[in-house]
Amino acid sequence: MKFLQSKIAWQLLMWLLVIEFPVESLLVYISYHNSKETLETELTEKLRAIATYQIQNMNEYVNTQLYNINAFASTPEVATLTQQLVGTKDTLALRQLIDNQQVTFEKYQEVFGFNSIVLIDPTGTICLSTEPKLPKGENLATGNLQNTELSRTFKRANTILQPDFSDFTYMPHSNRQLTAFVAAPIRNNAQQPIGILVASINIEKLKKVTQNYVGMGETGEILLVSTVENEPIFVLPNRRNSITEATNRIDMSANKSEGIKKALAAETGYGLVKDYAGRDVFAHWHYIPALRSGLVIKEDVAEAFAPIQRLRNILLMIVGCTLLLFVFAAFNIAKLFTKPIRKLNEVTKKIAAGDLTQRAAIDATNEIGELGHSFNDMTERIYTVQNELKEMNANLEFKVAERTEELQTMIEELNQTNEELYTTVEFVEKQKNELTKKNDNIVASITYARRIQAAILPLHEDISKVLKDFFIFYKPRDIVSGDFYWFGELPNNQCLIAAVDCTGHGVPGALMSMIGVNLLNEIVYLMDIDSPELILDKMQTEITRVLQQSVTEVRDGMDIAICKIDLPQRQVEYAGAMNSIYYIQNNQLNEIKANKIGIGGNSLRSPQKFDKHIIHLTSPTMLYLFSDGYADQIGGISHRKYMTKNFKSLLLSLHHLYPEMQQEHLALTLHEWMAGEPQLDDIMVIGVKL
Amino acid sequence: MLVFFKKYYLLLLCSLLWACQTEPDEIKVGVLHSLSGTMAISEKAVANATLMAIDEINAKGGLLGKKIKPIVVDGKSDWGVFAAEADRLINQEKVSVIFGCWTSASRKTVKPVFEKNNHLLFYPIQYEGLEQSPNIVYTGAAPNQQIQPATKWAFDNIGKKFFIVGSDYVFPRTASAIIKDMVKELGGEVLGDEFVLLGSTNVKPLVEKIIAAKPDVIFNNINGDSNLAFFKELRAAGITPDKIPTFSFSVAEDELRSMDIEQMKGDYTAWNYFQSIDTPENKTFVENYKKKYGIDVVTDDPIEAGYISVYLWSQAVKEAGTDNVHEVRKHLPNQSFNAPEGLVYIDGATQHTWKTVRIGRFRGYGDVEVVWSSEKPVQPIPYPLSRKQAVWDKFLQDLYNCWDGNWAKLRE
Repeated sequence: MKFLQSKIAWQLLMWLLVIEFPVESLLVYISYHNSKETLETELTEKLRAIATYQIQNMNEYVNTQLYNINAFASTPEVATLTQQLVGTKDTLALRQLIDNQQVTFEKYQEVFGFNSIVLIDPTGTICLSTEPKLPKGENLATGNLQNTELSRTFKRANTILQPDFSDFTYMPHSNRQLTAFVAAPIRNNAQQPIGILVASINIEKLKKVTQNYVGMGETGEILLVSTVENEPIFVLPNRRNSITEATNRIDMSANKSEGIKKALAAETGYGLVKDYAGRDVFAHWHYIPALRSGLVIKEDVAEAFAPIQRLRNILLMIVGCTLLLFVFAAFNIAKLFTKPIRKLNEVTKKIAAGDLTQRAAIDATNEIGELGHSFNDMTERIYTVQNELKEMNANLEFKVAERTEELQTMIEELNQTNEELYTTVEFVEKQKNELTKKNDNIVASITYARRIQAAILPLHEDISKVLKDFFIFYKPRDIVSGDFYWFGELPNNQCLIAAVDCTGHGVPGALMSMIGVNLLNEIVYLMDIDSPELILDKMQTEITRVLQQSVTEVRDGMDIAICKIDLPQRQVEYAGAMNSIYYIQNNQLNEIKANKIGIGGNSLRSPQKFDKHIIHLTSPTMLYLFSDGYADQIGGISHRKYMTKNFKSLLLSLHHLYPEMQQEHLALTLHEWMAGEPQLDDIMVIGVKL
Repeated sequence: MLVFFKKYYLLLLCSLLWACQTEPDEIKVGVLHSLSGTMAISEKAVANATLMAIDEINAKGGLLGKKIKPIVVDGKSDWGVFAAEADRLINQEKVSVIFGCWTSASRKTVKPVFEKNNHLLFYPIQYEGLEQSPNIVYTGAAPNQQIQPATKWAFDNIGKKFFIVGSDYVFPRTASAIIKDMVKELGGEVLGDEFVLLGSTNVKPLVEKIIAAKPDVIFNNINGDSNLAFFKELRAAGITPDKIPTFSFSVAEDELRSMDIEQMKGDYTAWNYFQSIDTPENKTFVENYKKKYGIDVVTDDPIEAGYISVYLWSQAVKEAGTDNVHEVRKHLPNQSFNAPEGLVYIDGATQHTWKTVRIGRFRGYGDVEVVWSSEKPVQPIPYPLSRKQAVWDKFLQDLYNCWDGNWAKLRE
């Protein structure tokens, strides 16, 4: 019963049932319902057709009886006899006449199939009768027969003056002998009504007309029912029960005779009802007005719906078989999956426990089989890898041991070296301390030298006595700088200003700056030379002399840009040795290039003359003197020089600002440009607003 | 998975719901009576009874699962309006049937409309017969269900000398001819046969002739207001029921309400239905009618016939399984109903109704004592057997021609 434990099987079964069961149920229901409806419709139509046929038969029967009695009443013999009988005194001749006519009447009675015939005069007196129970001389209006159906039929025919068919009734003075009366007026030649002819019909004849059960199976019945003396009765014998006149009462209790009740209530319809014996029947009930009776055509449900019961059983069997089939299919289909999955599961467990030699023996040709093969391949691979790992592990251990020994030896050697190094480090440490001390001394000296250099630079207060708006952005690379600026006050509100870039930077540059400052002071104040080009000319010769460049190998020099500012005249004279200047007027930057001759460093060549340039200050002017340090500074994302064109653009963008602001922007821009890069050279930018 | 199941069952449910689609839920019927004009006083009550029957059927769930929707139209006591409205009801409103008409003039005018459209009219009024149409169901009495039995009964129980009076239009003229044929057959005598214009109150000459003739019984076919003047004149002339009883064929319980009831006591009438019929069905009918329309109203033969017409039609519809006119007509023959008057059923051959014949005598309080009853329905014979059908047809045609293409004499 292992297969019953298969979860897949139960899941599959559940899926099949959930999806298929409602659909199948619906189909079965619709099938059954439709078939039942169709059968009911066919049955209804069949019963309705039978009912229609029977009603037609009965109506024809009634019409025939009416026709017959009317025809008989219309015969000259009857008219003549009636005239002779009505109002005539009782004489022997009359009695003989009556006896003779009785024979005739009995003959006609036989011909027309009546039970009996009665001739009645307009007052209601029976003049002639073939029925002993309806004796001659009896008066229907006043005698014993006055409350009978016969009497009512006579009265009706006598007033309406047309043939009449009575209700079913018992023959007077009989033991429930069932009959009905047909009546017709008798007229004389002048069409004057002179009497009424009444006949009692033979119910047996009606039975012959109606008792035809073709197409009604074994249980089909045709019931003609009527209310006689306030009692519902079967007019005709039943097919399945023998009914006598004594036993023709209908059981009208609850749950019985439902169709009969409806028919007697003048309803027409059909459906499932209980019959007179309480059986379930499918019936069509109808009222026959001509007979004032009900007609019920019925068939037992068991017989009528036998085909539908068979269908129901077949459908249920199909549903049952389908269910079994599903169960069988579910479990067998599931088996296809669960068996190999179980095998796989068992092998997996063993493998998980460590036995990698296990393989799943799955011979399915589907995806499960493929999974099994893949699993086995995987297991094989793992097994192989495991063995390799084991081997590697063994090798590794050996190597590790070997290596450990080597390392041990190395450690011992290293320890020895470490001791030696330690000794060396101690020595180096000692040396370092000494060097540090010496370095500190040097730095202190150089720092002190900066103070001296700073002292020889012109004071801003002195400059501002002549030039109101200026800035000097001065940023040495080292403690002391190779760049310096010089200012010389002249009479008549004139002055000289120079930006000098000495060879090198740091201490050598600072020493050169000292020489430069000294020379400029001598040339301007002692030699009384104040033209920029002449000053440069003189500087050229003096540097050579001071540094004995004709005989020594000292080739140091300086690049200078010097301007003479004449405020009253509103002009600036400029001369430059390797150092150009910029001036910005009317938002336009103009460059005056210097002579391509440096001051000093070229003693073997004959001194060159410097050019003088004049700038007319016709509009507000921003004058810039500078060294090459700013433009040559490395920085930015690409680690390249700032470049002259950028330097120009920067100055052009700043020239309208206050000099102090320009200095700040220059410093900020440089800082951002450098972004951590080391300063390559001394940087100096002088800006004068004129 | 739960989502799948939800979607699956939702789809199944939607499929089932889609299968259960519904049809329109009402059946339209026409109710065509005079609600204004001379005939309104009589026809309104018939219309009311028709509507009551419709309400009863609707209250029980309707017909074939649908409600019956009555479309009530006023014929305005004008035959031309009746014909026009019948046509409109049939062709525009698309009704399944029409219950209506009172006067023979209105019926004869609408008859061609129904025959042309092959439609169906239920006509609830006793009439002169001499007519049969596959498109009309006559639920009122034919001559052999009212006039003729009354004649025989009067001959047997009152006397053999008759005087006939009537309004001058087709019904009284035809009734008079039928009565005369019958009296002759019976061996009686018709001493006079006089007519007044419909609505006329000039009845004095009539009464004078009656007095002069000294009949045993007066057969009265006067209609409408003229009856008030007639009986007033009759009584004033000293003719009372105990001396010369009058048999009226157009006076029922409803007409009595506007007459001097005391003066009518002892006179006779013949109908198929009286309010005084003592059956459970009639008691319920009268009770419901009074409950609906007022304690003072009365029921009479035309009212009852208007009521049973709806039930007979509805039964035919149920059997046919549709309200389609042509299918319904196939299920009319032998359609029976336990009416307030007793069992009634439609005669397949003539499309008239088997009805119980009753002769009544007016009592005090405006009701009628039944003095004779056929006790079961009598087969209708539209064409009295005293003449051949062709002869009757000619009789009618002669009347029509004589009245310049009308069904009543319009002027002296």
